[in-house]
Amino acid sequence: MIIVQQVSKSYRQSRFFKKRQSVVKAVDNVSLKIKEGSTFTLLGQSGSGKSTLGKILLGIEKPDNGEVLFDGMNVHNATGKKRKKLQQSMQVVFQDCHSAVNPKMKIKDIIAEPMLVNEKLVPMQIEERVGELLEMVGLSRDDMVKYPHQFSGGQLQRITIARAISTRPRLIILDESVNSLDVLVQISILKLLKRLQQELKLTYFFITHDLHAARLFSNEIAIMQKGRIVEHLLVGELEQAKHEATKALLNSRLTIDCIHNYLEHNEEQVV
Amino acid sequence: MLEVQNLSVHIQGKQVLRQVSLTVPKGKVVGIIGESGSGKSVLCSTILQLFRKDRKAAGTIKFNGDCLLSLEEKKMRSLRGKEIALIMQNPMSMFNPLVTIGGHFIETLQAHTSMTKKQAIKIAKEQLALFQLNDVDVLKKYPHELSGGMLQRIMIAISASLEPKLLLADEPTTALDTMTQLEIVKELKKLQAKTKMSILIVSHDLGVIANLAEEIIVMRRGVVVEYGPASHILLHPIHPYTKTLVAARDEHSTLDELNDKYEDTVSGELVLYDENHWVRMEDSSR
Repeated sequence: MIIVQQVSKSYRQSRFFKKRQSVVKAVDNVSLKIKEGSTFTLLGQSGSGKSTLGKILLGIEKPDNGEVLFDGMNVHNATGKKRKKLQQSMQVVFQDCHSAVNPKMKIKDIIAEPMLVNEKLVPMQIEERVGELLEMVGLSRDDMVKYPHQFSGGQLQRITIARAISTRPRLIILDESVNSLDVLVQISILKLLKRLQQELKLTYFFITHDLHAARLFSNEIAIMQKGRIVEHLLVGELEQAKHEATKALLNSRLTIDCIHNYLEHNEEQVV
Repeated sequence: MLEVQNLSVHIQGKQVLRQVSLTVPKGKVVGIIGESGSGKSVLCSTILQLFRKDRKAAGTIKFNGDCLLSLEEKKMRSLRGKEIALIMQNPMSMFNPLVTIGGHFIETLQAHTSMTKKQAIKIAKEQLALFQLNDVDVLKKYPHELSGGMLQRIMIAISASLEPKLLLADEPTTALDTMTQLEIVKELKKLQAKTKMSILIVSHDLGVIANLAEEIIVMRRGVVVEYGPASHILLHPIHPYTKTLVAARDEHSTLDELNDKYEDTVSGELVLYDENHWVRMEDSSR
């Protein structure tokens, strides 16, 4: 569905009082394909260019080279009706849900905002749709009249998901969407996303640094390091990863398995 | 070393901690795990007696024989930083953006000792060397020039420079990515092995706790629901909430198998389940 062809993007970094500018290659010659209905995970450390690639996919950032095709349409050259269509079919859910919603707006208006850009609806219809969306993400219809501060992080993330699916998109970019949440809330959000994927035939582009979440949630994983995709595998193949960066990520897991080692170690000491 | 007994805290009339008891023995690492809003951070700031005026605390907190709850502010001040240090969650917002790293060291060291700037810088360099930040330049840098992981390491270095006896680490790795998390955990482990300080580490990530702590306290809604040696709790969790937490970290389970719900059992009595292993259970489940 989405084809990314040899996309590069670099930023110039200028230093105060210094004439020389340094160039940072955020995304370096990246090509990938995302299949309809699947979850594609981009895994990497902070600063590896994951979010920049996400922005390029969305059409917010223009790449220096290469192109992004959505169903054959170039995302960055589309104009007029085509562009609007693209915007409707791509949505994004960010990491920090507190700064992703306007604290002065009611939940109803937050969720309805992207719909109203694209459609003309009368208030009755809006309420009906927002109610439906809230129920889909596991909240209640009555939450519509509340304000963001009345919700917890997990609930607020559900609201931003409701907003994302309000335009009936086909692709949702999840930019570290579960990372700032509590472990169990993370799992409940991932479960919700998976259910929505089946119900609405969504495609996900999941950006994360958390291997555990990636493993639970995705079909394909691409590992990014310094702007390049260094390895590309299916979830099941993770253990056979060859590249150093992937191995480093695999080894950086803080697992609770260590307790077994700890026990063995202690037993040795006793002996 | 640190003994908290039957601590209850009210903030604006709302009870946030109920009858919390725990001990941090000398030279040991104790981990607290719990969901957001379970009162972990409130516990930390109450131990340090921060926000004293807004909080009503009952119970006892004993640190080296001193009763912290009734200690006068002046004495408490000399304890903070010198005897009990705190590392906070977000290193980015804990540094003053207008002061260099060296300036932070000088400020902290001079607050508790009558050191000259030169002496302070010397200690700062020694500390940074311990954390593999030998670069002299680091001291001249401003917080925004450094990454989150670097800042967190510097934060640990600063708090260790006064050789505190107890380190409170409030979610020290939450804002960092997994690779940096591992580094920080290693640093803390090394520091603990070297200085033999006691550490009370708070996190919602069982992985971090499992790698550091010898004893684990599981909190939920302001009460302790399970308390015991790390090996016991991780291998044989008893309370349903702990069970769910441990299962959530299981590498081999799939999303469908994992639970995101748990029975709501925060009532009942703490009962001795096994050697040193306490669980809060309702009478019916026994």
